[in-house]
Order: sequence, then C-alpha cells, then structure tokens
Amino acid sequence: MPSVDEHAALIAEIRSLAERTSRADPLDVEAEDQLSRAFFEFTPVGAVNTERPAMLVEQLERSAAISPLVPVDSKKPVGRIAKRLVRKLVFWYMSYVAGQMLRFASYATRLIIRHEERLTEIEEKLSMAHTPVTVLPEDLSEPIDLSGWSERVVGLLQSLAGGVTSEDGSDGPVPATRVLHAGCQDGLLVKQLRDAGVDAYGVDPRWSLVDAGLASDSSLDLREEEIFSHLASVGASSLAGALLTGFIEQLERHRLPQLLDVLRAVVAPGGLIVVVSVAPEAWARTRSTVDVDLAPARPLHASTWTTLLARQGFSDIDVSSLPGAYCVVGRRGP
Amino acid sequence: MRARAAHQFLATFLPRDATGLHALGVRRCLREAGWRSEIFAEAVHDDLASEAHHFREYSRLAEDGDLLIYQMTTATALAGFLASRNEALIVDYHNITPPELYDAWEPAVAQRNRYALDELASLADRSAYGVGDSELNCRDLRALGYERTRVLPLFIDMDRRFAWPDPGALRELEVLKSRGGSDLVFIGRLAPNKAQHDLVQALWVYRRLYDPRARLWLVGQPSCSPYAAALREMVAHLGLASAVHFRRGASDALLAAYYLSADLFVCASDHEGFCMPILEAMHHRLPVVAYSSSAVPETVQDAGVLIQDKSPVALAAAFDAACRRREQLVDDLEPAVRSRLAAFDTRAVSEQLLSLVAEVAGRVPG
Repeated sequence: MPSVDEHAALIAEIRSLAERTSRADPLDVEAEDQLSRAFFEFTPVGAVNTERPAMLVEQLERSAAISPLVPVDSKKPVGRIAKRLVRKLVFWYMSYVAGQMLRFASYATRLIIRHEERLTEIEEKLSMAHTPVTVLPEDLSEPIDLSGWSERVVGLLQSLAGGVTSEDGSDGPVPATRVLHAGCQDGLLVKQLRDAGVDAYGVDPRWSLVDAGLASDSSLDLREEEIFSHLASVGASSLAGALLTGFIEQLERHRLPQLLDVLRAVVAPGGLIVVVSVAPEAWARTRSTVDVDLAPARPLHASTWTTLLARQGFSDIDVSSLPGAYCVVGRRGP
Repeated sequence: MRARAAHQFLATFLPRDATGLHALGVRRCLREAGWRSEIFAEAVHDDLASEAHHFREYSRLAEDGDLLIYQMTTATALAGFLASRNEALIVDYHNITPPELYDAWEPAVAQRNRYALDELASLADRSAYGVGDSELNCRDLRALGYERTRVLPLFIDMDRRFAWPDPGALRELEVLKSRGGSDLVFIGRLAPNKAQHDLVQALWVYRRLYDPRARLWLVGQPSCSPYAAALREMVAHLGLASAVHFRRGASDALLAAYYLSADLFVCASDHEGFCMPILEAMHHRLPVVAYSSSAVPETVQDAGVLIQDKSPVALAAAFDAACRRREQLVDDLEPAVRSRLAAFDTRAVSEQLLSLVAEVAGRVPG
C-alpha cells in the first residue's frame, strides 16, 4: 500500500509541473491570441473579464453591422422557400428599419471608439508622468537581505508561539498556530521563527532559493509555490499570522485588493499581519504618497498600507523603522 | 405514545436529483429511527407523486412538537410559508450560485438567486440550525446570520445508483477509445459557474501539446441557454466539434458508463457548493483533476489533484501528467479515496442527522 507521503508527493509533482509549464508559456503568440478570443467572441458583454478593450471594441463593431437579410436556412425544403418569400415581401420594411438602426449604431460605435482612444491617450500620458521615485534592486527576483532586521521581526511574531483561537469554527473555537512567511527565500526567517517556538513555514516561487534553503536544513517547511496560488488554498482563519516580504515590492496594483481580501480570510481573528518593505525611500522621502504609490512597480507608502489594512478590519496598526526597511504590523479584528 | 415527526420541505422533488435523493435518504433514516417523516414539496415529479405531498397540505397535518427541515435550493414560496409557521426549523442549505456569475448571461436567473439569498437570510432568526453539505455552505449561512451551523454530508447511495452501467453506452465508448486518445469527462449542468469553456480551452491546448486525439465529454443539461450556445460556438470555432461530445442529462446507468470509460474526471468550475460528481468519480476509481475553487478543495481533499492555476496551459499539463501516470495515481490515491467515500457512508451520515434532530428536538417540547 502506498504511504501517505508517496501519494502527497505524486500530487505535489503534478501540481508543480502544471505551474511550471504555465510559467514557461509553451504556446506561440498566435495560438494564445486565438485561444483568448475563442470564447470572448461569443459571450455577452461583461460575461468574461478582459484586460484588452480592443477586443470589446471589435465585438461592438461587429454587432453594429445590422443586416436586413434575415437567414433563410431551414431543415425542410418548403421552410426555406417560405422564408425566402416572407423575406422578399417585407424587405422594403426591414431595410428601412435596419437602415435607421445601423445609422444609430454607427454613431454610437464611433463615439465609443473615440472615447476609448482618448482614454488610452490620457492613460499613456499619466503613466509617463509617474516616473519612478524610489530605487529598487535592478532584478526584483534577486533575494533581499533580511539579516539586518530578521531578529526584530521574529520578536514581533514570537507572541504567536501559542497560536490564536478562532471563533469561526462551527464546532467551537479552533486554535490557529501556523505562521506563513510569504516570500521566504531560503527560509532564514522561517528557521529563526521555528527556533523561537513559532510554528512557521515558508512559500516562495523561486525554486533555486527554496532548494538552497532545504539543502541547508531539510527539516524546514519550505514550499516552492506561487504565493497567490498558495494563499488561495489556505483554509479560512487557519493562520495565526502572515509575514510578507519581497514580493510586495513588485506587486501589481490590481492584485492588492485580492491580497488583502485573502489575508483577511486566512488569518484568524487576533492573528497578526507583518509587512516588511525594503525600500524606506518609499516613505521616508518628501514626495507625496500618491506619487509613490502610483509609480509603476514601486512599493507602497507605509501610510497606504496602514489605511488599507484598517479598511480590511485590522487594528492596532503600527509602523516602525528597521535598518534598511520599514515594517507595518496589524492585528486581525474579530 | 405517538412518535414525533420531522418533516422535510423542498421546492421541486425530482428523481435522480441530488437534493431529491438526499431528502429520500433523510426520510428513510428518520423513519428507521422511529420518527414520523413526510416530504412536502412545491412541485413533485410524476414518478414521485406517491412519495410526497403538496406543501400547503402540511397546515392540515401539522401537530405540536413537529420539526421541519427545509432543503433549500432556490427562491420559492416555501420560504414565506415556513417563516409564517411556529414549528422548530432546520435549514439544510444546498448552495445558491452567486448571482454575479449569471448577471451578464441571464439577468433573470441572477435576480432569482438574489431573491433566494434574501429568503435564506430571512429564515436565519427563525431557524434552530443551519446545515450545509459543505463547510463553504456553512460559512455562507453564518454570513447571513445563522448562529448555529453544522456540516451534514449528503445521503449518497452510489452502490445502488451505479450498479448497472449501460452496456450499449459502454460498447460505444470502447469503440471510440480503441481509436486512441484520452477521454476526459466532466459531469454537470452547462452553466457559467461550471466553466466548461475553460475545459474546452484546456482540451485545445492538451491536443496541441500532448495528445492530438484526446476527447472531452461534457455530460449535463444546459441550464443557461446563452452560455450553452456560446460554448458550442466556441467548440466549432476552435475546430473541436469532433473532440468535444455534449451529452444532455443522463441516467445513472449512462453516467456509470462515462465514469468507467473515462481516463480522468476534470473540473474547472468557478463555483461549486459541493460537487457531487467528484465523489461519483471517486466511487468509480476515476482520478480527479480539479481547479481549486469554492467547495471543490473540501470535496476532493487529498483524494485528487487540485490545481491552483486555471490557465489552459496549466490545466492541460496537469491532464497530461495525470493521464501518463494514471495507474500509479489510482493506486496511490486508493486509501485517500476510500477514506473520503467512508465519510459518506449511510450509517455515519445517519448518526450525524439523528444527533442533530435529537438536539433540536430536545429544545422543543414534544
């Protein structure tokens, strides 16, 4: 009989292969385009989310082409003849109505396309206006240096060693003990947390860093996984805390609400969120918060994290300075 | 002394429907434990006419100390009727598809689902217990104000349902199989939340990169016509008309044939309240590869492959890996599958139901 480990390893292998293949992107551009259009073309507006307004505009232009020539196909030969006859009889009427509708649709379509072009123009100008204001490592996939402040962070999370108790369980309180380090690199902080009695584990999509960490200490619970994918699989209120480092520096803005939503779901009431950003320039300098936050691929200002966490129901929010970094801590409310 | 009664209410009582089968299982269990138990419904299928009463008849048959169990699936006059009664009530919630998933496709269905959620919320204060067939459903109930919730698995008697696979269908499927290529199957209504379009796109990639002769079987009634039409058009547009086989709602015998003939059960649903076909696939020792969303992870647990990335390429790669190592997957998953199915053992579910009913009855004088 296969052991539990064997069966878990096989499942993990298939999952990992799927994720790696997806990242490798084996389809050519033409095939990808064909696929992304395939369903969209037949769906009502709003049914499929698309980040490509051009596809919506194409769909609009196609549907604005109103024809008075009603199809006459029929399974029965007589049906086809009858339909042709009816079409011929009412063609003068249909073409008059269709002509008016077509004129309206053309004006409406042109107007929408003009607005779309104007919007794109404004977006481009705005994007150029927001030049980067902070300095980040050239290659964001490079590991960040945690050594200067790791002990302070361990101190912040040490209170979770006994876990926190969630009231969410249907069968009474369920203690949550696990602390996730998202962006764990080689597991330095996971090891320090474990040594401090915290039930910590780490997730990082960079397999080389995770492998290096496991090679130096195979007893660490480190997983090579995409962080959002991992968070999606974590049960509600099952974490005592979450520490976020590294990946938040390059977080796309539209994913931020998703991250906060999922963190609120997975951290148990009373649990802690700790965000460490290694770009103190983002909040220490005199540039406005808006400038910093809107600059593409730049880290968020600490006060923005404070506001966003408070909106998600986190309390006791505290911002502190660390050597070469800043840290925002929030406690999940009930 | 006359036995106490626990009666069930449901909107439509249909044969082969998961809620209908569950209601029959609940009634059997209650009766065997000495309770009086009847089924009341708003609409009853002709085949089940002798098994149920119209719900308005309950007013005539009601007795002090009755317990009522509402098998909640949709917006119906039952909610108002039950809200106006005084008997102790248990709401057994079988999930309502989030309205936003239907907004663009069928606004009327989205609106009906909103009404249903309102009705569910309106019964929160009135209910002694909210019961769900998954933790996801219990979470929904708590969010709507239900204070006491509990997971109660569905009554599923798969040994009986799938005892006789359709021999004609088996032969036909074997002929197709002999031409080579893997067979992937998904059982479920054609509906936006089931996301069959993602399976079709994944099949397109799977055929292109791994197995050019693979087939996808989509078995289920179209429950959203615009979605079903768009799906068929996409299949034709991608040149998959001969590779994607649509089959409308099938009998248990036909379903058994599909489960037995397929190589994988695949699921890309964006929302499932429970997903019974996953367990049915496990019953047939058919490996499951599913996108991890809503209640799917808790239904699959460790007895199948859950994929976090829903891109067609990721799904196709998972299908390929699972097909290549199918035998090993079946063997390795066997203990987990057995333990998963054991959770739905009729005796275990009966014990949970009777303990729930006894707890509620204990609070209501008989």
